[in-house]
Amino acid sequence: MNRSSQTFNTNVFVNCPFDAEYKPIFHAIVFTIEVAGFQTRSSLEASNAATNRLEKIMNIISECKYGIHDLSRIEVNRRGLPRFNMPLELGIDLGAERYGNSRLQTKTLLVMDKTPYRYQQFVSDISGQDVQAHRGSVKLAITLVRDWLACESGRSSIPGGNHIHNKYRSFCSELPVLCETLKTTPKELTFSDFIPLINGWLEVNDSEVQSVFKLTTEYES
Amino acid sequence: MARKEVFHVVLRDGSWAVRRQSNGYIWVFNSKTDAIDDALRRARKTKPRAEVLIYGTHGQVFQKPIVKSRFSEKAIRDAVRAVKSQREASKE
Repeated sequence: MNRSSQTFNTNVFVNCPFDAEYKPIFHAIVFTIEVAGFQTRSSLEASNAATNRLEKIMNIISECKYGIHDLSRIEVNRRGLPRFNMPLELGIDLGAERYGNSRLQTKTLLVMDKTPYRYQQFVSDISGQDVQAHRGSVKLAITLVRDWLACESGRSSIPGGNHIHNKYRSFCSELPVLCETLKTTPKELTFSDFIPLINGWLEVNDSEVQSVFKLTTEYES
Repeated sequence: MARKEVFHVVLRDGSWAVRRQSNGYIWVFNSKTDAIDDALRRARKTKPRAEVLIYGTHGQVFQKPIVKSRFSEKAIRDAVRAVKSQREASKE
Protein backbone atom coordinates (compact mmCIF):
# COMPACT_ATOMS: atom_id res chain seq x y z
CA MET A 1 0.00 0.00 0.00
CA ASN A 2 1.53 3.35 -0.98
CA ARG A 3 1.61 6.39 1.30
CA SER A 4 -1.19 8.23 -0.46
CA SER A 5 -3.53 5.26 0.14
CA GLN A 6 -2.60 5.16 3.81
CA THR A 7 -3.59 8.81 4.15
CA PHE A 8 -7.10 8.33 2.69
CA ASN A 9 -8.76 9.97 5.70
CA THR A 10 -6.71 13.17 5.37
CA ASN A 11 -6.63 13.48 1.56
CA VAL A 12 -8.75 16.20 -0.06
CA PHE A 13 -9.21 16.13 -3.83
CA VAL A 14 -9.59 19.61 -5.33
CA ASN A 15 -11.35 19.83 -8.69
CA CYS A 16 -11.48 23.45 -9.79
CA PRO A 17 -10.42 25.80 -12.59
CA PHE A 18 -6.68 26.43 -12.91
CA ASP A 19 -6.79 29.69 -14.88
CA ALA A 20 -5.10 32.91 -13.71
CA GLU A 21 -8.39 34.56 -12.72
CA TYR A 22 -9.31 31.70 -10.39
CA LYS A 23 -5.79 31.22 -8.99
CA PRO A 24 -6.27 33.30 -5.78
CA ILE A 25 -9.30 31.18 -4.82
CA PHE A 26 -7.49 27.94 -5.72
CA HIS A 27 -4.49 28.97 -3.61
CA ALA A 28 -6.79 29.98 -0.73
CA ILE A 29 -8.56 26.59 -0.84
CA VAL A 30 -5.21 24.75 -0.84
CA PHE A 31 -3.95 26.92 2.04
CA THR A 32 -7.11 26.21 4.09
CA ILE A 33 -6.76 22.46 3.55
CA GLU A 34 -3.12 22.50 4.65
CA VAL A 35 -3.78 24.75 7.70
CA ALA A 36 -6.53 22.37 8.77
CA GLY A 37 -4.04 19.48 8.77
CA PHE A 38 -5.24 17.74 5.60
CA GLN A 39 -3.43 17.00 2.33
CA THR A 40 -4.37 18.59 -0.97
CA ARG A 41 -4.59 16.32 -3.99
CA SER A 42 -5.24 17.58 -7.48
CA SER A 43 -5.06 16.54 -11.10
CA LEU A 44 -2.11 18.98 -11.31
CA GLU A 45 0.07 16.39 -9.59
CA ALA A 46 -0.69 13.89 -12.36
CA SER A 47 2.35 14.64 -14.49
CA ASN A 48 3.50 11.11 -15.27
CA ALA A 49 3.21 10.89 -19.05
CA ALA A 50 3.37 7.09 -18.92
CA THR A 51 -0.19 6.80 -17.57
CA ASN A 52 -3.48 7.91 -19.09
CA ARG A 53 -4.55 11.26 -17.58
CA LEU A 54 -8.09 10.19 -16.67
CA GLU A 55 -6.68 7.01 -15.11
CA LYS A 56 -4.38 9.14 -12.95
CA ILE A 57 -7.26 11.40 -11.89
CA MET A 58 -9.40 8.38 -10.99
CA ASN A 59 -6.50 6.97 -8.93
CA ILE A 60 -6.20 10.25 -7.03
CA ILE A 61 -9.98 10.39 -6.44
CA SER A 62 -9.89 6.83 -5.06
CA GLU A 63 -7.20 7.89 -2.56
CA CYS A 64 -9.23 10.82 -1.16
CA LYS A 65 -11.98 10.73 1.43
CA TYR A 66 -12.85 14.38 0.79
CA GLY A 67 -13.61 16.07 -2.53
CA ILE A 68 -14.03 19.76 -3.34
CA HIS A 69 -15.62 20.50 -6.70
CA ASP A 70 -15.95 24.05 -7.98
CA LEU A 71 -18.16 24.41 -11.03
CA SER A 72 -17.37 28.11 -11.52
CA ARG A 73 -16.15 27.83 -15.09
CA ILE A 74 -19.03 27.08 -17.40
CA GLU A 75 -18.42 29.98 -19.74
CA VAL A 76 -17.85 29.07 -23.37
CA ASN A 77 -14.42 29.58 -24.87
CA ARG A 78 -13.53 31.40 -28.13
CA ARG A 79 -14.79 28.41 -30.09
CA GLY A 80 -18.16 28.57 -28.33
CA LEU A 81 -17.57 25.42 -26.26
CA PRO A 82 -17.66 25.08 -22.44
CA ARG A 83 -15.09 23.06 -20.43
CA PHE A 84 -16.57 19.82 -19.13
CA ASN A 85 -13.59 18.56 -17.09
CA MET A 86 -14.95 19.74 -13.75
CA PRO A 87 -18.46 18.26 -14.07
CA LEU A 88 -16.82 15.05 -15.36
CA GLU A 89 -14.55 14.77 -12.30
CA LEU A 90 -17.50 15.56 -10.02
CA GLY A 91 -19.39 12.72 -11.70
CA ILE A 92 -16.48 10.32 -11.16
CA ASP A 93 -16.31 11.29 -7.48
CA LEU A 94 -20.10 10.87 -7.04
CA GLY A 95 -19.86 7.49 -8.78
CA ALA A 96 -16.98 6.40 -6.52
CA GLU A 97 -19.03 7.30 -3.46
CA ARG A 98 -22.11 5.49 -4.80
CA TYR A 99 -20.61 2.35 -6.35
CA GLY A 100 -17.16 2.08 -4.74
CA ASN A 101 -15.99 -0.26 -1.97
CA SER A 102 -16.89 0.31 1.68
CA ARG A 103 -14.02 2.77 2.11
CA LEU A 104 -15.05 4.87 -0.89
CA GLN A 105 -18.63 4.94 0.33
CA THR A 106 -17.42 7.07 3.26
CA LYS A 107 -16.45 9.82 0.81
CA THR A 108 -17.84 13.28 1.39
CA LEU A 109 -18.07 16.09 -1.17
CA LEU A 110 -18.31 19.87 -1.19
CA VAL A 111 -19.73 21.31 -4.42
CA MET A 112 -19.24 25.03 -5.01
CA ASP A 113 -20.22 27.50 -7.68
CA LYS A 114 -19.64 31.19 -8.19
CA THR A 115 -23.27 32.25 -7.76
CA PRO A 116 -26.13 30.56 -5.93
CA TYR A 117 -28.58 28.36 -7.90
CA ARG A 118 -26.77 28.94 -11.22
CA TYR A 119 -25.86 25.23 -11.35
CA GLN A 120 -29.56 24.41 -11.73
CA GLN A 121 -29.34 25.76 -15.28
CA PHE A 122 -26.46 23.56 -16.43
CA VAL A 123 -26.37 20.51 -14.12
CA SER A 124 -29.92 20.34 -12.81
CA ASP A 125 -29.43 16.67 -11.85
CA ILE A 126 -27.42 17.75 -8.78
CA SER A 127 -30.23 19.98 -7.54
CA GLY A 128 -30.61 17.67 -4.53
CA GLN A 129 -27.02 18.43 -3.47
CA ASP A 130 -26.20 21.33 -1.18
CA VAL A 131 -24.20 23.50 -3.59
CA GLN A 132 -22.39 26.41 -1.92
CA ALA A 133 -21.68 29.77 -3.58
CA HIS A 134 -18.34 31.52 -2.92
CA ARG A 135 -19.26 34.55 -5.09
CA GLY A 136 -15.66 34.81 -6.28
CA SER A 137 -14.53 35.84 -2.77
CA VAL A 138 -11.32 34.39 -1.32
CA LYS A 139 -12.57 34.91 2.23
CA LEU A 140 -15.90 33.20 1.59
CA ALA A 141 -14.18 30.28 -0.17
CA ILE A 142 -11.88 29.84 2.86
CA THR A 143 -14.82 29.90 5.26
CA LEU A 144 -16.85 27.41 3.18
CA VAL A 145 -13.96 24.94 2.92
CA ARG A 146 -12.98 25.35 6.58
CA ASP A 147 -16.53 24.90 7.91
CA TRP A 148 -17.14 21.90 5.67
CA LEU A 149 -13.88 20.17 6.72
CA ALA A 150 -14.54 20.87 10.41
CA CYS A 151 -18.10 19.56 10.14
CA GLU A 152 -17.33 16.44 8.08
CA SER A 153 -14.16 15.42 9.93
CA GLY A 154 -15.48 16.27 13.40
CA ARG A 155 -12.10 17.78 14.23
CA SER A 156 -12.11 20.57 16.79
CA SER A 157 -8.48 21.48 16.03
CA ILE A 158 -9.25 23.42 12.83
CA PRO A 159 -8.78 27.18 13.25
CA GLY A 160 -11.66 29.54 12.38
CA GLY A 161 -12.22 31.07 8.95
CA ASN A 162 -11.09 34.57 9.97
CA HIS A 163 -7.87 33.22 11.46
CA ILE A 164 -7.12 31.22 8.31
CA HIS A 165 -7.89 34.24 6.10
CA ASN A 166 -5.47 36.42 8.10
CA LYS A 167 -2.82 33.72 7.84
CA TYR A 168 -3.39 33.44 4.11
CA ARG A 169 -2.95 37.20 3.69
CA SER A 170 0.30 37.05 5.68
CA PHE A 171 1.50 34.15 3.57
CA CYS A 172 0.64 35.96 0.32
CA SER A 173 2.43 39.11 1.44
CA GLU A 174 5.59 37.10 2.15
CA LEU A 175 5.37 34.85 -0.89
CA PRO A 176 7.29 37.15 -3.30
CA VAL A 177 10.21 37.48 -0.82
CA LEU A 178 10.09 33.77 -0.09
CA CYS A 179 10.27 33.01 -3.80
CA GLU A 180 13.12 35.45 -4.25
CA THR A 181 15.07 33.62 -1.52
CA LEU A 182 14.42 30.37 -3.41
CA LYS A 183 15.49 32.02 -6.69
CA THR A 184 12.09 31.79 -8.31
CA THR A 185 8.89 33.85 -8.67
CA PRO A 186 5.30 33.20 -7.50
CA LYS A 187 4.24 32.75 -11.14
CA GLU A 188 6.83 30.01 -11.67
CA LEU A 189 5.62 27.94 -8.71
CA THR A 190 4.05 24.66 -9.69
CA PHE A 191 1.44 22.84 -7.60
CA SER A 192 4.23 20.52 -6.37
CA ASP A 193 6.27 23.52 -5.20
CA PHE A 194 3.37 25.41 -3.70
CA ILE A 195 2.22 22.74 -1.23
CA PRO A 196 5.62 22.17 0.50
CA LEU A 197 6.06 25.96 0.58
CA ILE A 198 2.78 26.40 2.47
CA ASN A 199 3.75 23.59 4.84
CA GLY A 200 7.21 25.03 5.45
CA TRP A 201 5.72 28.47 6.07
CA LEU A 202 3.05 27.13 8.44
CA GLU A 203 5.54 25.12 10.48
CA VAL A 204 7.28 28.32 11.52
CA ASN A 205 4.56 30.96 11.25
CA ASP A 206 1.46 29.48 12.80
CA SER A 207 2.06 30.73 16.32
CA GLU A 208 0.78 34.26 15.80
CA VAL A 209 -1.04 36.32 13.20
CA GLN A 210 1.35 38.74 11.56
CA SER A 211 0.28 42.17 10.43
CA VAL A 212 -0.04 42.47 6.69
CA PHE A 213 2.19 45.22 5.32
CA LYS A 214 1.63 44.87 1.64
CA LEU A 215 -0.85 42.91 -0.40
CA THR A 216 -0.45 42.16 -4.04
CA THR A 217 -3.69 42.87 -5.88
CA GLU A 218 -3.68 39.32 -7.26
CA TYR A 219 -4.49 37.90 -3.82
CA GLU A 220 -6.87 40.54 -2.53
CA SER A 221 -10.32 39.21 -1.85
CA MET B 1 10.04 -5.42 13.91
CA ALA B 2 10.51 -2.46 16.24
CA ARG B 3 7.89 0.28 15.99
CA LYS B 4 9.10 3.43 14.29
CA GLU B 5 9.87 6.20 16.76
CA VAL B 6 7.98 9.49 16.43
CA PHE B 7 8.94 12.92 17.77
CA HIS B 8 6.02 15.32 18.16
CA VAL B 9 6.59 19.10 18.07
CA VAL B 10 3.72 20.36 20.21
CA LEU B 11 2.51 23.44 22.06
CA ARG B 12 2.60 22.68 25.78
CA ASP B 13 1.68 25.14 28.52
CA GLY B 14 2.43 28.08 26.24
CA SER B 15 5.87 26.78 25.17
CA TRP B 16 6.93 24.65 22.25
CA ALA B 17 8.14 21.20 23.16
CA VAL B 18 9.39 17.97 21.62
CA ARG B 19 7.69 14.82 22.90
CA ARG B 20 9.18 11.40 22.26
CA GLN B 21 6.32 9.01 21.60
CA SER B 22 7.86 5.80 22.99
CA ASN B 23 8.65 7.00 26.51
CA GLY B 24 6.82 10.34 26.77
CA TYR B 25 10.02 12.33 27.44
CA ILE B 26 9.56 16.05 26.84
CA TRP B 27 12.06 18.78 25.99
CA VAL B 28 10.85 22.39 26.18
CA PHE B 29 12.16 25.25 23.98
CA ASN B 30 11.86 29.02 23.70
CA SER B 31 10.63 28.93 20.10
CA LYS B 32 8.97 26.55 17.71
CA THR B 33 11.95 26.83 15.36
CA ASP B 34 14.27 25.51 18.09
CA ALA B 35 11.85 22.70 18.88
CA ILE B 36 11.67 21.66 15.20
CA ASP B 37 15.48 21.68 14.90
CA ASP B 38 15.80 19.54 18.02
CA ALA B 39 13.15 17.07 16.83
CA LEU B 40 14.84 16.74 13.43
CA ARG B 41 18.24 16.17 15.07
CA ARG B 42 16.83 13.50 17.39
CA ALA B 43 15.03 11.84 14.48
CA ARG B 44 18.27 11.69 12.46
CA LYS B 45 20.14 10.11 15.39
CA THR B 46 17.47 7.47 16.02
CA LYS B 47 17.87 4.10 14.27
CA PRO B 48 15.84 3.37 12.23
CA ARG B 49 15.31 7.03 11.41
CA ALA B 50 12.36 8.42 13.36
CA GLU B 51 9.45 10.47 12.06
CA VAL B 52 8.78 14.09 13.07
CA LEU B 53 5.20 15.35 13.38
CA ILE B 54 4.77 19.10 13.60
CA TYR B 55 1.58 20.42 15.19
CA GLY B 56 -0.13 23.77 14.84
CA THR B 57 -1.21 26.04 17.66
CA HIS B 58 -4.72 24.60 17.44
CA GLY B 59 -3.46 21.02 17.79
CA GLN B 60 -3.76 20.12 14.12
CA VAL B 61 -0.95 18.01 12.59
CA PHE B 62 0.62 19.48 9.46
CA GLN B 63 0.72 16.68 6.89
CA LYS B 64 3.82 15.85 4.89
CA PRO B 65 3.16 16.66 1.22
CA ILE B 66 2.73 13.69 -1.11
CA VAL B 67 3.92 15.69 -4.12
CA LYS B 68 7.64 16.01 -4.84
CA SER B 69 8.92 19.58 -5.01
CA ARG B 70 12.04 20.79 -6.79
CA PHE B 71 12.95 22.46 -3.45
CA SER B 72 14.20 20.34 -0.57
CA GLU B 73 12.50 20.54 2.84
CA LYS B 74 15.67 22.12 4.20
CA ALA B 75 15.81 24.78 1.46
CA ILE B 76 12.19 25.76 2.14
CA ARG B 77 12.72 25.79 5.90
CA ASP B 78 15.84 27.97 5.55
CA ALA B 79 14.05 30.38 3.20
CA VAL B 80 11.04 30.71 5.53
CA ARG B 81 13.32 31.37 8.49
CA ALA B 82 15.36 33.94 6.56
CA VAL B 83 12.18 35.82 5.62
CA LYS B 84 10.93 35.64 9.21
CA SER B 85 14.24 37.05 10.49
CA GLN B 86 14.03 39.88 7.93
CA ARG B 87 10.48 40.66 9.03
CA GLU B 88 11.41 40.69 12.72
CA ALA B 89 14.49 42.85 12.04
CA SER B 90 12.37 45.39 10.12
CA LYS B 91 9.94 45.62 13.07
CA GLU B 92 12.75 46.54 15.53
